[in-house]
Amino acid sequence: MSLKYWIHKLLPLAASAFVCWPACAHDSSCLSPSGLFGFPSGFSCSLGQNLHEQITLIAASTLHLPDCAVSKIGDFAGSVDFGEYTVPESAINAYLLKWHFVEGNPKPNGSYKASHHFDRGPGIPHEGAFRNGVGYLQQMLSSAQTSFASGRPSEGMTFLGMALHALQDFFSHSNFADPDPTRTLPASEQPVAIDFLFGRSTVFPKDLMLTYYDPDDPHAGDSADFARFSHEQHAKDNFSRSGYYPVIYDLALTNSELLISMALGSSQGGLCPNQPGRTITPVSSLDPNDKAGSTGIGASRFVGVGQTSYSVYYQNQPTATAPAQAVTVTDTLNTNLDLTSLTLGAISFPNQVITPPSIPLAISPFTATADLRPTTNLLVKINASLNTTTGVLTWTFQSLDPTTNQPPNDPLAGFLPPGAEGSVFFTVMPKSSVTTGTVIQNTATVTFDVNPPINTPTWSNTIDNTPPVSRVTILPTQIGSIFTVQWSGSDVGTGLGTFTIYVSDNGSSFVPWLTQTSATSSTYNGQVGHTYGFYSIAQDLVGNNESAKTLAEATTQVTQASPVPSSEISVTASGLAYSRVSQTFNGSVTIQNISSATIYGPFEIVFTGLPAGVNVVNSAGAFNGSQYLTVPSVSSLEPGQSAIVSVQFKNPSNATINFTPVIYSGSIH
Amino acid sequence: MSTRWTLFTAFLLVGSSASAGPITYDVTVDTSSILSTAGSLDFNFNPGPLVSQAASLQILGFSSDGTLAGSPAFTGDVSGALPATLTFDNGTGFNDYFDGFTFGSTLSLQVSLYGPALSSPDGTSTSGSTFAFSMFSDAAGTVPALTSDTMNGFAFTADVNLDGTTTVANFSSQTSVAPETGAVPEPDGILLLGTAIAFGTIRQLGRRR
Repeated sequence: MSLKYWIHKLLPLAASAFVCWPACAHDSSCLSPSGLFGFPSGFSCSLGQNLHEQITLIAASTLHLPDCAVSKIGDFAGSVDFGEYTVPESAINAYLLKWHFVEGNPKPNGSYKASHHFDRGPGIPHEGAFRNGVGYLQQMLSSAQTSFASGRPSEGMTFLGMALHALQDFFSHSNFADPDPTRTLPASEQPVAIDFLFGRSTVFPKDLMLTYYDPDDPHAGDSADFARFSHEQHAKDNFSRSGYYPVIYDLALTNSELLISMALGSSQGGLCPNQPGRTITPVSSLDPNDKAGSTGIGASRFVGVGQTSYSVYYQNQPTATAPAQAVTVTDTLNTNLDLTSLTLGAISFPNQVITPPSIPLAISPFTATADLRPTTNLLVKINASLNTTTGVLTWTFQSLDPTTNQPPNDPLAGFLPPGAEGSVFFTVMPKSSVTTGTVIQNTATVTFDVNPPINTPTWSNTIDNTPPVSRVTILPTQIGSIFTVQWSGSDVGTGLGTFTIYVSDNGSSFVPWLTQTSATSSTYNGQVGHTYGFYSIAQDLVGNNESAKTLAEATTQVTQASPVPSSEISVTASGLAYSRVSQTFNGSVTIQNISSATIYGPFEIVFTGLPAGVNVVNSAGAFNGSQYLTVPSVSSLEPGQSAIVSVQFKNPSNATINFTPVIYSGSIH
Repeated sequence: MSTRWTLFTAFLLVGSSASAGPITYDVTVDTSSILSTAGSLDFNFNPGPLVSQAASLQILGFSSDGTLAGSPAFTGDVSGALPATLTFDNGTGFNDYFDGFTFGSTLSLQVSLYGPALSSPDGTSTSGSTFAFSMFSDAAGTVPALTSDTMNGFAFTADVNLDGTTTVANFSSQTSVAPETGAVPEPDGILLLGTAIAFGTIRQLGRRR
C-alpha cells in the first residue's frame, strides 16, 4: 500500500526547463535511469537499493525528459551527500546508501548541515530541527522556482535535486512513519506536519521527532533516549535494517507546474494519510503562446471605438531541443479595425525591451537590431510591418552572428532559449463606423524557425459604439432656494456610467455643476430671484459620451417665501408625548393641500404665538421672530397630498403648548 | 433573538384601530431581563399643540410580580394610584404619572382610551392626543429600559387621531400591545341593551295576556 502525498509544488516554466540544455554535463554520454541502474521507469518497482539519486532518477524518468535532464536531477539529489559525506571515488555516479552509514559519515568537519537532511543535531530540540529542515526545503524549492522562471534551467535542476533529497530525508529521518505503530506520529498530527512542511502552517506537530546525529560523535545518540531516533538506528532509508522505507515519489509536469507526489514505498502500513499538498501560485502562468487584449467591460469585453490594445506572447516550446534563432509573429487584423491607427508598443524578449516610436505603423515599417553581447554572442534583427491591403501585421526576429551578420551556423545559438519568452504589443482603434454589438476577434500566429506555425488563443471584444441618452427631470416653475434636481438615462450596450450635470444661472452659459457622478439626484442651493436651467450629459461604461446639448431640460425659479392661505393648506398636529429622557414634548405636524391646485415648496411651518419659555428644539431658524421648521424633502404638494414633520418642544415649566401655525411656500432662508 | 428581528419588532407599528370609539389595549411586558432592578414607570397622556377634543385614558388591571416603590408623582389631570386604576384626562397640557418600581419577571396592564375624541370626533379639532408609556432602570427615570427608542425612552405610544382612531407605535421587543378582543359594553351600550330587554319582556308579557 502506497499512499501518496500530492505536493503541488508549482514550478513555473519548469516544463520548458526540462530539456537538454547546452550546459548539461551529461550531454551525449549521460545515461537514462534504466540504462544506468537497470530499473524500470516509474516507482512501482521494488527498490533493492534506495539511493537518493536513484530514487530521484526513477521519479524523473516518468517525466519522459531527455536522459541528460533526468541525470541532472539525480546528480544533484545525490550531490548533497557527495559534498557532505565521504564517498568513494567509484561512487561518483552510483552513490550507495551503505556509504551513507559508514564510519566517518557524514564528514565531521565537512559541509554537513543537519537541516539538509532533517537531522537533529546536538542540543537541538525536535521542533527546532524540524523548522531548520523546513526552512532549507523551502529555500531550495523557491530557488528552483526562481531559476526556472528566470530562464536558468540548469541552475533550477540543482536546487530541485537538493530539495528532493531533503524531502526524502524528512520521511526517512522522522517518526512521521514507523514500523512500530506505537512510535509513529499520531495520524491526527501527520497533516499538521505536512502543512508545516509545505508552508501552509507553522504549527509544529505534537510528538514529531527527528533522528539524532552528531557528526563529531556519530554514536552518541545510540543509547538511552536517543537510541530510538538515532540516525543509524532509525533512519528508514537504511536498507540494512528490517523496517526500512524507501521514500519515493512521482513527478508530473503540466505546462507550468511540477507536481511532486511523495510516497513511502513500503507495503508495511498505510502510514501516510492522503493529504493535499501546497499549491503555490506561479509567478508566471502564461501559456507558451498567448494573446491578450483590452479587458473591456463585462463578459463580452465591451470596448468603445477608442484605442484597443493587444499583446502577443510567444515562448520557445518546453520540448524544444535548441534555442530559437528566428521567430515570426503574424496577426491578421479584423476588418473592423482602423489600420491607419495601429501603433506598435514594446517589443521584448529575454533581457531586451525595444520601444518603437509612437507613430502609426502604416506610415513606415519598424526596424531595429538588438545586440545581445556580451551575454550572448548574437545580434537580433527585428522588423515589424503592416500590410494595409491584407491587414497582416508581422514581427520578425532573426538571430545574427555578429561576425558575419548572417544567421548563426551553430544550431544551438539563438536568441530565445527553450522556455524563454517574448512579447509584442500594439494598439489600434476600431473603425468609427462599427456598430454596437460587433465582435472583433484577434488571433496571432507564432512560428519558430522551421517549425509549423502555432496559433495563439483568440481574443474577442464587443464594440459599444452607441452613446447613452439622458435628461433632467422637469422642475416646478417656482421653487424654494434649496431644491432637488433629478435626472435619468439609458444606454444600449454596456450601460450607463456617469452623468455630468450642467447648470445655467439666470441665462448665463451652462457650466458643470456635478461632474461624472453616478448619482441620479442632488440638492441644489439657489438664490431667491434666480432662474436656473439644467441639462445632463451621460457617459456609458466604455466612455461613449452623449451628444452635447445647448438647451435646458429643466428650468425653475427660486421664489421668495410667501404664506399659504389657510383655505389652501390645513395644519393638524398629533398629541405630545413627554419624554423624561430628552425632557421634550414630542409630536408631529401634518400639512395637507386642501386646494385644487399644486402648491410648490419648500414648505416652512412657522410657530407663531408659542408660550413664553417653549422652544422648538428642532427648529430650522427664526422668521419674523418666530421659530420655523422646514418640511423635509417635499418640493410640492398635489391637491389632497399631505406631508408630515416631527417636532420636539422644550417646555421646562410644563406649560400647555399651543401655537398658531403659518405655512410658507418658497424659501425663507 | 436576532438583531434583525429585534429591529423589526422595535419599530413595529401595532397598527391603527379602525373603530371610532373606545378602545382597550392589553399590554404585557417581559421584564425578566431587568428582574429585581430598582427602576421606575412613567405614563403620560397629553393633548396636541393645536385644538384637541376631550379624551380620557385609564390604566386598568395593573399586575406584576414586581413591586411598586415609593410614592407616585402626579402632574395634571391624573387620578388614582397603581395598582388600582389610573385615570387621565387631556384637559391640561401635561398629565403624567410616575412611580418607582422594582421589576419582576413580567408586567401587564390594560390601556383604555375613551371620550368624545374617540366616540364622536367633531371634525373641527386640529390636534390629537397621545399616550406614552416608558420604563426605566433607575428610580429617577433617566435611563430607559426595554426599548430601542434610546432618544426618548418610550416603550410604546398610542395616538388618538382626529378621526377617532388610534395608532400604536411599539419600540419594545419585550412589550406586547394588542387591542382587547373581548368587547366590553360601554355604559351607553348597556343602557340601550337594558332598554331593549325591558321592551321585549313587556311585549312578551303583553302577548301572554
